[in-house]
Amino acid sequence: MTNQEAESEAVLAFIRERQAEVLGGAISQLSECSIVDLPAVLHKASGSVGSYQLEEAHALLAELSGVVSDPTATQADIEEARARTVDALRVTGTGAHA
Amino acid sequence: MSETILIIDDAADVRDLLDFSLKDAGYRVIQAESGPAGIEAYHAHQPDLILLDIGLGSMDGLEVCRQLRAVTSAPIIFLTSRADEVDQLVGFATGGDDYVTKPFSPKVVLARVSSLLRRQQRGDDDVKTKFQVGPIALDTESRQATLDGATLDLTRTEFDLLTVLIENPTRVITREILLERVWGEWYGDTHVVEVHMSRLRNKVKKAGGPSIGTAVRGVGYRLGLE
Repeated sequence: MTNQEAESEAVLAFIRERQAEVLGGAISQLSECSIVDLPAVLHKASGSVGSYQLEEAHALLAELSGVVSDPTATQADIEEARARTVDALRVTGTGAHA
Repeated sequence: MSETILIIDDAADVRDLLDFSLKDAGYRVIQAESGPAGIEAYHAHQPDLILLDIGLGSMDGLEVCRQLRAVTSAPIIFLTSRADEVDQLVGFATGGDDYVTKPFSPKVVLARVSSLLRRQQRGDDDVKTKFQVGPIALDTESRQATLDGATLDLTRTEFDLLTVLIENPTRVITREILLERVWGEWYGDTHVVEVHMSRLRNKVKKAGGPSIGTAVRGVGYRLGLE
């Protein structure tokens, strides 16, 4: 029993209209937060971008989450992954305008 | 349809998407961005159902749920985005009726909302309202379950699961029938049955009762009473 039905046209239109803003917000938060707050920011941003059907961005955030939760990752590794993710997010779909 | 839904989530994007989808489906919607604001909004608007994010800031969703449960039996659906949060929901008597994982599809949320509201309104249609099997007694009219006369503190979902099992004490009930009877229209996998059945089983056992809700591999569950 899986959900095969699409969202209503109105909801889809709302999602499309807000995608760039949602992705832009996620990029800002991700760029500006401290490394301590990064897990929580990622957690919230993943929920938002995924719910707004930004699949590529969601996958990038999941990849960064993997680095952040890796016990062997150094602070430099995390900062580098964050910078890489932010760059990649900026060029994904609607994110190009963020 | 004019039921009021309260959304408690600190992510404005998520609140806005839920708000739009619910209003598009004909519901009235109230938003709150924190636990304390959510509790205040509950008292001001007395919503019919609450969508509650677990990962709120200073007062987390589980604490908000506990406080709301002290004053209302309105259905509560948790919004959660981490596997460990789902584990928390399974492991503790949170008082929530259901959960939806983020990222979510608005259509799935609407289906869950509609199903829970229908269950709440179904009320007193049952012909037989009192059941007793072994030490467990159930009154579907007053929605009270007892074990050897002591009240069992069950959520709406757990009570409904127990009702289906106790109405058919010798039969094996398939997961599909349980989904249909307890959740109504359902979008998603059948894992939700296992989650809630496990919680029900643990509560009865913790109260000193027998092992109920025995899994029959590949089929479903039977009351058990072992």
